[in-house]
Amino acid sequence: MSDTSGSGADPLAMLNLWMKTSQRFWDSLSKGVQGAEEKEEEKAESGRARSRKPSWEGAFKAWQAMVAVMSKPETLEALTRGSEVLPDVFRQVVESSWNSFFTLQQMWMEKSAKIGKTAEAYRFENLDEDVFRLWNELYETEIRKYLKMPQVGLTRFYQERVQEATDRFAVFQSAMGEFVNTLMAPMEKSIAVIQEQLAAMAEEDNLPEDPQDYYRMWVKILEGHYMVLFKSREYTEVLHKTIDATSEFVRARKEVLADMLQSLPVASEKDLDELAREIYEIKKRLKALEKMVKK
Amino acid sequence: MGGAKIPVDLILSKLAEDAKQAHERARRASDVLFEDLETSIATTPYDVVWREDRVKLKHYRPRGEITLKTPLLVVYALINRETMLDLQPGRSVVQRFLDDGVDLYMIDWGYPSRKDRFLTIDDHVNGYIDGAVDYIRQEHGLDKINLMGICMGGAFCVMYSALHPEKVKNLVTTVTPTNFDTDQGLLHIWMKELDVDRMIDTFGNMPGDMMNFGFLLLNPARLMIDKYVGFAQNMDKKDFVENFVRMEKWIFDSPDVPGETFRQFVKDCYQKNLLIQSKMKLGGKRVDLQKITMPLLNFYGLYDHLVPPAACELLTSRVGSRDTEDICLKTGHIGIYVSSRFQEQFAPKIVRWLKERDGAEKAGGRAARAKSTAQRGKGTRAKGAAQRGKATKAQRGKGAKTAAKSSR
Repeated sequence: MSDTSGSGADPLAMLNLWMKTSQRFWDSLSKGVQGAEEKEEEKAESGRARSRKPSWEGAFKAWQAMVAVMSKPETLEALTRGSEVLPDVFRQVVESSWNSFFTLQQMWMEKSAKIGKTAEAYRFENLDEDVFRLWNELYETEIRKYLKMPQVGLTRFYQERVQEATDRFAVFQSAMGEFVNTLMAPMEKSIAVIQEQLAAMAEEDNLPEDPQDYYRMWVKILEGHYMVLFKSREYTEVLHKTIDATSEFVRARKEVLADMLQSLPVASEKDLDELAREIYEIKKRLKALEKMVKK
Repeated sequence: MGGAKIPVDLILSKLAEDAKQAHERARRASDVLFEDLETSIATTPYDVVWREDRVKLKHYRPRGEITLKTPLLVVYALINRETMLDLQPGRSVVQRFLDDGVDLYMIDWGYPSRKDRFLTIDDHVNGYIDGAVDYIRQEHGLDKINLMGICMGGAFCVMYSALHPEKVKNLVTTVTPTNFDTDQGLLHIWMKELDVDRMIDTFGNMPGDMMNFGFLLLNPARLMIDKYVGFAQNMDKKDFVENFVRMEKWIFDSPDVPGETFRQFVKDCYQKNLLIQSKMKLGGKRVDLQKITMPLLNFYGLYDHLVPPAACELLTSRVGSRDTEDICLKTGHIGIYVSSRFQEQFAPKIVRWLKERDGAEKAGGRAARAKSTAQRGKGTRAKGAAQRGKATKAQRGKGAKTAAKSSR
């Protein structure tokens, strides 16, 4: 059919090249992430550090396996010729994906079994904030810059406000995630404490017979943990950060909404606020005048 | 755990028994939940006798002879609603006051909308409260009326009494924060560094739902888990369900707070603690607590996590009045008003206290105070009450406040 020899662009070679390039990219990223994680883990307290390596590794391994298979000459040939090799490729891909999923599932199982073990009772310093700090750093250095790119043209201000709202939403999501995570910490810690208490009670042959007693014990411990958390400096900081992020997101969203309302025959919040202020001031003057007249 | 015996058999048999009971309870609960429940609140009849903007003045219809000459105006907080004082027949502060012969008025702050965002504390104190007080004074042909404030409403009453002492005969403050420089309560800790400008500039008014969420977070284990576990365990009891739903109706009926009022309250009170130092200004006038020369009765809760004792108990030592009394009840922020047990102590005590001061004006104020200065030692400012044979701050000594036990 079409003659490709003259064009010098061999699709097979290009596909192969793309596969190798992307593999190199993911390899280097993987190493970078691993390096960063190791650095973080060194910083973190040994008993508290949570490794995110397996999930990254699982995903990379799955990708590498797929790329390795896809890069084989026979696979590439099969791709173009549609030979019987293709089902085998899929089988290998599915197999490797399944292995990755299985690894992930195992990790979750391990994590759930560790509930209560990773947390130290009644201590809320450095509350797993590394996860959120890492994300914030990644967002601020790698993603935010795209949203902060200068806009040009007639609609530049509108675009800027949409991007501002997107940026604020990302910050809000991150802050909210951190806040929820902080709120969940006492749950984990209270389980650790109750496990210890039950072990001690079992030693003394003093375990309650009524299951509701276990619940009452847990609620009391949980309440204590919340009180400690709420009085901590860390919680107050996270709380204020979340409130500020919420306020900023709501403000940015309102500005976008006001832009959209411009084309509709409805008053914006700003218009209504200005009107309300004028009415407020007129009423105040009127009341003062009324009082003067009465006197 | 070594050779310790774990009563697995007993635990399992109890679990099985509980499961059976839960099944039975769920069956009975469905009968309760599907039948007509009486969950209305604030049913005591009243007339709206004065109104300005969203604010209404309720006058409760007497249930018998009025035995107190001076009417009582109750000022609730801007947070939540005054319906808490009249949750249900038989568990109502309002009805207790009426049964004891009080001519009762109450301010209903209504639901602020976006247009109310510019209203300041000055508008509430020197505008709405003053308007309601003037109406009552005129209606009864009196120079002064009795004033009772609850929580933030109490702080407003303190401000009002300092700015208009000539219109207030007796002042009752209940769970009223006036000293904000304390770390006893979580609100005090959280509010210290809140960027209130950013919040109010964004939201306009302070959203009631946001505040409610904040209040739930003060004790999530109890307010978000245990409370509903308790409900699940008792939802086959009609009375329990009705009371529970009434309470839920009140708790989550949370109007927004006008933005400028909230901003000023956080900044001047929580962050700068101006009120207790007599440095706060409303409408250009300084709120000087020394000008509070009328008798003052100050109630607060020992286990109040919203307005802790440290936020309330300084007031009596900072006012100009020499007739003051602190009463600390062993209960929480709302236990004083909704617990039948505390209502029995709280409302009758207020009525007795008001009746003792319901006669003609006594020589009080600064002159009398100056006279008594020599007689009282450090912290002794209870001559008026002592003359009437009451237990006073001076007699009780430091820390020995009137106390009662609470279930909440």
